[in-house]
Amino acid sequence: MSAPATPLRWVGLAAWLAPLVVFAVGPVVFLLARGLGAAGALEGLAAETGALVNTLAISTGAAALALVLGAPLALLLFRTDLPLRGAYAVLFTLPSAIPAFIWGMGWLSLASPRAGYLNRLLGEGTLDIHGPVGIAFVEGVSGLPLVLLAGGAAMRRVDPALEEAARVCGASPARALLTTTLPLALPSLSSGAVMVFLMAASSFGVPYLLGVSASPPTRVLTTRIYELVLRADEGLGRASALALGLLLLTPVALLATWALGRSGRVRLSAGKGLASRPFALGRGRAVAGAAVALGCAVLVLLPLGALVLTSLQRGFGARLAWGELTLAHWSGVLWAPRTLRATGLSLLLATGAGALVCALGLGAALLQRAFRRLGAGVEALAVWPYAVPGTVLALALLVAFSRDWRFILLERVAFVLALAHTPWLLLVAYAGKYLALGTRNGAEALAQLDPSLAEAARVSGAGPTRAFRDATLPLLRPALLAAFVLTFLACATEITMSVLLVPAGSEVLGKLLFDLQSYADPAAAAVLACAFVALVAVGQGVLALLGRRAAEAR
Amino acid sequence: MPHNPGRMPFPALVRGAGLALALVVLASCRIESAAPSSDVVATHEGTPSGEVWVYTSMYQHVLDALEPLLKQRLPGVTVRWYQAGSEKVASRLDAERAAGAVRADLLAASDPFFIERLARAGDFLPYASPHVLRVPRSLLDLDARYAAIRVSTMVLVHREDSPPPPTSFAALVDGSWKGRVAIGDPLTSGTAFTWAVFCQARYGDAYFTGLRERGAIVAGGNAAVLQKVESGEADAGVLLLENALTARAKGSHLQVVWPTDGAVTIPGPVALFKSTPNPVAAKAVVDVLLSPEGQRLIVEKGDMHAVDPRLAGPRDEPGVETLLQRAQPWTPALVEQGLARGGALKEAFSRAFSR
Repeated sequence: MSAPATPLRWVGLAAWLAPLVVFAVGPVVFLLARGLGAAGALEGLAAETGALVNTLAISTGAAALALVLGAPLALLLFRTDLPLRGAYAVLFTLPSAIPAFIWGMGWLSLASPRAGYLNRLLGEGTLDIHGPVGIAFVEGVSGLPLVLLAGGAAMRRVDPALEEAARVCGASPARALLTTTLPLALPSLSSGAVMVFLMAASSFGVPYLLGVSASPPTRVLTTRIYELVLRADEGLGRASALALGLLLLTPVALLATWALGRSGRVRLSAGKGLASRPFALGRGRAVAGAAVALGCAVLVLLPLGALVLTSLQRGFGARLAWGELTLAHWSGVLWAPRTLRATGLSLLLATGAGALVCALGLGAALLQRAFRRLGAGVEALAVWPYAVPGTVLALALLVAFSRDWRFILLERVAFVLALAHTPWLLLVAYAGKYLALGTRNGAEALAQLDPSLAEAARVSGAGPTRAFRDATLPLLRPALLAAFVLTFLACATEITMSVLLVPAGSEVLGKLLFDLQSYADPAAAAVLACAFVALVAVGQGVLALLGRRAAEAR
Repeated sequence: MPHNPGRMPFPALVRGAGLALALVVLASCRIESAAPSSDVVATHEGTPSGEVWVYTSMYQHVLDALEPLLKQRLPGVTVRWYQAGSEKVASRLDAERAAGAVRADLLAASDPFFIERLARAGDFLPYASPHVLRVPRSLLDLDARYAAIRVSTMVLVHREDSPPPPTSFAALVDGSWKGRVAIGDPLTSGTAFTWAVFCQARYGDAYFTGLRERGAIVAGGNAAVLQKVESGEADAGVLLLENALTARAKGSHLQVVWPTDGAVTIPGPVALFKSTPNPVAAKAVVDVLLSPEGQRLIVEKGDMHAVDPRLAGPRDEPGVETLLQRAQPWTPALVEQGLARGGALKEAFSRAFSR
């Protein structure tokens, strides 16, 4: 069994690199270079330190919150006999299913200083969602599924033999769980937290919604970039400089995961196909159940309830009385042909982007393993677009692809790549932006796989492809599925890029949400958000049911 | 472990994926002759036909209403809309201009400064529609590079049950009115920016510091202002008339106050790009938008003022000529101020509010 010839490795790298450079990294670099080349790019940057500090503080806070909430939750939901854990798992993924700024709206109606429902109950000014703390809170909660799903996938991969060994050596079940499984899942959990950090650093909707009305206004890098980009030529230079600062956060964050994960990275799956036994909580079951139920109620159900209430109100913030409730928004929005068309296209695009992200992410993970040192570069390149603010990425793609690309063959035939005003450009943008989800999940999962499995398959006579398909891929499936789900949810309701890149005459859900939110009324947007939540909940329920069927059939 | 990376059969997979991607890219290509194509559609004098691309910030429901009218008047023409907020339309157009490939034939945004900037850059094809003869002069470019098709207005709003509302924009800062006002963010919202240009021209930078001292709440765009006022978070708001009227029609308890120091009008012009391959059809679309039927749809569906003085205003408001009397006049100096010193204004505003 010989290692494939070196050139093949390079062919693989080139095949993976080409689309990424052409469709994501290249355009962004081109735009930034153009901006930095403009005069006055570096002037007045000192005035932006406040935005940088805010960004760092908010993102760190969000990541810490997601980790602190996500780690125990992942343990409780995926490794114990907590009552109703299946339902909770679905409920706690919802924060990613709805665009963060819809959550922001929900919290705004709950905790605005004067008019928020909670403040009306507790007294004026008790809670104030405006400002850095509020932003970090909303971002952290909406990033929770990134930690939860990554951690859950890791815990399912942990070899149960390890825990059994700990038990045999005399550890109590709780100790066995905390000293074997948790440390082994920690790299995945912290990698999820790093993703939350990057997500919060590059997010725009929530900081804008909650920051602009704070006193003094909380400005972060993305909102500053947006403000500067809107100034057209004069602002683009400074916006590029700021975007560059934001992009430098990616390697730093990756370095942090690497440092965190180095100590704990152990091969988790050595091949025994035993299902791990759920940990019995015993007397703590009721307490844990109550705690999770409370967390779920406050973090998920409360804002959702506020959304439902908003969708039923005649006007935003009307008195709470039965007479003021109406179903008019629901019938007006849901069955409009626009909504149906937009939903169709969005689901199609999200599925496509999810598949692309999984394939390219898996490719990145494999390349990383094959190239060792160079692998870090591969990973950085794949994660990089995630930290690019949506506005910048969309503008970069517009500058690059507004003009048709003509590849001329033999001076006779021209292949014309016309992406402007086609859904393909949206697909490119989605896949580029969220590639990081596939890469991170794939890399973490692959790092924890013992190559002995594939070797065993090869020894038994399988070809390399067959060994990969039969031995490696099934073990990677939970991580890839998590990546697919996260990408799908993020793309189906992506707003910032969709608004700029949507082809003339067609609609996607993100644009529809934005329109309803900013031109029609928040009630209509809330209807759409509620409908999407219902869709996601049903979809996840079906997935869970299918999973159970498959497990029983085995 | 010596080296085992080679054992992962990655090349097969990555190569496979790469190949598939390359095939997808190739398949999505259009194949044509490499000879310089003469696909510039011959400008069919006479009957307008073909495609017209319109980049617009008009509300989608207005576009939906205009669609049948355009179909009926111009059966041979397919109109394709790219609709977004005027800031987004401007961003997209700037990007396309940077790439040297503007796809739009027509621009119908509601940012007078942006249109003026493009007009000065020489991007527009002058065209005077026969319908503009009745339109008030202040809404037209005398070189016919653009013409307003609708007028939005910034007014004051408050809830019916709230304490006495402010009566002028000046009252928001001079202490005669106590309460909190919600305003749009001039840094990101085009309409709020236009309003800020007028207020700064009239009351100076002190206007912004005054707003800050009286506890004004900056909200993102007009929808956010509406929300803050409706929910009681703010006592009054500076809002587009059409948003207030639409909200009232839906059962909201909002009242409109016409400021005594003059409302701020924001004309929404339409302009033809010089680069249009199909000027005949594009001009025909402009004519339909300015025709009495098109104007009526803008009033009835969009709750905005038409530029045709024969039509009444939205929801029984008086027509455009009364509106212009109630509003502060647009002057060349104001246009200059917004165009050349817009950046300085934004700086002044954010400095005042970051204290």
